[in-house]
Amino acid sequence: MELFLLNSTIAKTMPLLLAALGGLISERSGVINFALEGMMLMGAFFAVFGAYYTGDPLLGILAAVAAGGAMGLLHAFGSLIMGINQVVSSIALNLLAVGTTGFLLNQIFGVYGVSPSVPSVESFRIGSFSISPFILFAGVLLVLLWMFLYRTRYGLRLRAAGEDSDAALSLGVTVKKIRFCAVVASGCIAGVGGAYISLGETSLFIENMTNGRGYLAIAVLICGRWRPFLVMWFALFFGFATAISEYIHVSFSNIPSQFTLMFPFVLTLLVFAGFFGRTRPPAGLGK
Amino acid sequence: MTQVAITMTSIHKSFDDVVANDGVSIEIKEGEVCAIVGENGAGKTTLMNMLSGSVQPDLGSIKIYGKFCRLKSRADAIKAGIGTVHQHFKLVSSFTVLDNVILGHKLRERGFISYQTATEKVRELIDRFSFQLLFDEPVGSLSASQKQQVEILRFVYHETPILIFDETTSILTPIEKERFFQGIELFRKEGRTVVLISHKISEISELLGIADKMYVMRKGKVVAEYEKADFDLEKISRAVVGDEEIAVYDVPRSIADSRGAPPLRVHMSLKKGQGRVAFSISPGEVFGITGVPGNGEREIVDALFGIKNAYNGRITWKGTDLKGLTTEQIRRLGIAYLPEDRENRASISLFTLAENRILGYHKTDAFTRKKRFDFSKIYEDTRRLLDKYHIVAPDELSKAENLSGGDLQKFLLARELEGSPELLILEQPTRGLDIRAAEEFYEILQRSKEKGLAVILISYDLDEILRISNRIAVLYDYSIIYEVEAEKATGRSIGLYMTRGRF
Repeated sequence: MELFLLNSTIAKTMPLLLAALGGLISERSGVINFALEGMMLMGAFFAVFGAYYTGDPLLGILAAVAAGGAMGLLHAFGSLIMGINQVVSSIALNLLAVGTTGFLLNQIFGVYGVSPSVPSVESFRIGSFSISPFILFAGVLLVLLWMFLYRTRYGLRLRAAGEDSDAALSLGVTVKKIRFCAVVASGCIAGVGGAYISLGETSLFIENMTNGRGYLAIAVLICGRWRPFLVMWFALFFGFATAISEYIHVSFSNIPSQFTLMFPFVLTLLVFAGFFGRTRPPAGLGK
Repeated sequence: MTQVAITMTSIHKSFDDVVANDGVSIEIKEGEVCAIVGENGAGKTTLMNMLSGSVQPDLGSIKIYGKFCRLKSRADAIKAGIGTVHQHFKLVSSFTVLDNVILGHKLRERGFISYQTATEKVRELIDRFSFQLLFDEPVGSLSASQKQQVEILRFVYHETPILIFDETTSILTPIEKERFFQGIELFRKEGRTVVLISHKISEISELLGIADKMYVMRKGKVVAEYEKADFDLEKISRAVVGDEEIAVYDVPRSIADSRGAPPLRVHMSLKKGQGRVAFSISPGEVFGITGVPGNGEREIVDALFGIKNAYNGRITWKGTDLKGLTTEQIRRLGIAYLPEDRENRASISLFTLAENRILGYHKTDAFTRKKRFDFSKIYEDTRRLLDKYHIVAPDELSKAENLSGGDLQKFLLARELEGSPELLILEQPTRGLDIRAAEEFYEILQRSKEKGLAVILISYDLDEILRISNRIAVLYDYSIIYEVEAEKATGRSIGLYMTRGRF
């Protein structure tokens, strides 16, 4: 049972962590990103699409990065260049992703609901652990992101853009450019999170298979106070909560599944209601 | 021969119909300390904004070190070697001093930050200028003068050769100002070019001591130019205000009517368990409250005017406890308040003057007929006000935002006085006004004081506080730590208390 829980926790953590890290880079630069859900969903679909046509799951992941990046590009274009409210732009993108993936699923594969099976990303095993390459990627990304934010000049400028864009501008920081890049990068990373859902957990695409995990990732980001390592711990915590709820769901079939599967979202609600202490977002977020 | 650092030739700039700069030419040599003085609205800040890249000239050319420059953004100006310390700080308040300094200017630098080298360098600079700063303090918790030091540090760290200080001394206490001028002296020794902007007549004599050259601007033009050899305080002062005589209003210290008990008694603490604010005011008296901004002046007004009730203790007005009363009830008792932010708090800029006239009186029956507003009455009364107080405005239907700062302030003061208050709370009443408007403001106020109006004057302008008040109180950390009769006070002693001896 412990092993099941451990593997399951890691599996549930991965997409949350990747999406939250994506969200982190966007929000630290000052752009609200509620579109993580849509970015992941697009990533999940195009990962399957890429793997289906090339037969190589790694190329599928690349397609997911591109699709997530394209969503990021749309969000950046809408909110930074056209000046749309960042929350509105995010929600529009989430709706766009649901519609587009459903439509393309039907047009490309000629099916409804579930895509055909494709080659998935192979995990390698060490003892009884199965380690997915995604885990390695997330680990490396986490460290690199931290170093970028806190040890490089570009990272400092990105944080300045997120805290006080006016002050940053007056020092000649090209706030818009930095934010644009950050939002696109955010999409790329969230896209990988989506690829994990379709190619890591399973080997096919199911309509709306992200199932609210993009929103959970935002809760993770808030709990993690927009700091990479704290975000990692909260991603693990939420991953664990999801794993437990599924474990209970499987083991105790007399409890209605709606209740058990609700658990992580109730937790999210509590987070938004401020049960985990007040957090301070980047001061310039959304401005 | 020394090189010329800044040359601006026949600069024209207008905003809509307002001409801000009309054929301005200046030339500043490398290593020179140059002062540009003039009243508010003379065009100094616009001119400097062109050097810092935030405004582009309509006509004219700018040369930096002999090279023509088009400064299209702040980044361009920084690249050209110009650093500007603004009236409003451009600091990221959640960052530490160190991060704010590093963030600075060398935008072409990439890659990793060597925090070790940076820390050493910043520490050494803090020492050299004897700044009172810790490199790892978050900037948000610093005082205004410390924030200014961070800004200066930033330019020094990045070896910016030309430094512009836009009205930076106006927020400093006298001793901080001395230190600031010492810093300028150091810049001169290092061969940097310094431009100092000031609108205060009272500061000219200090500037004469430090500057090598002085430009006087008035109404968008350079009206006079002086080299060190022909500095003359009187001549320069006259050039600043122009040929027309300004009656500098002789504000007689009003005589407090101390017969009977003072109507206002305040005895409260603003912070939990600490901080003590106690004072009382008699009719006709001006009680000046000063201090470094953020030491409790806002909270005093909030408590007095019923905006927030977050205090312990008692405030009584003619025997009535004000605690728990709403702002409306307090106004009815004869207390009026003119907030510092005229455009956003004291008036609604998109409303007409007539509409602004009734704000605060909208629940009384003064302007109604059969429970509805009687607009002819409102218009007529607004016209009467414009006339009585010599307010320059096209008519009662012009929007508040179209008035000059001075006229708007006179209008708002008139509005409050028309309600015949017995106590008036003023917050920075002449901030941003030119001398003429400020004098007119004092004159109107004086007439009401003679009739027994008591005034609480909250101001950071020491000249104003010393000139207008009967008594002066200094706030520090939510307490009145010093109270003195105005005749016995000096700017220096008040400044000392403002910072509590901490510089």
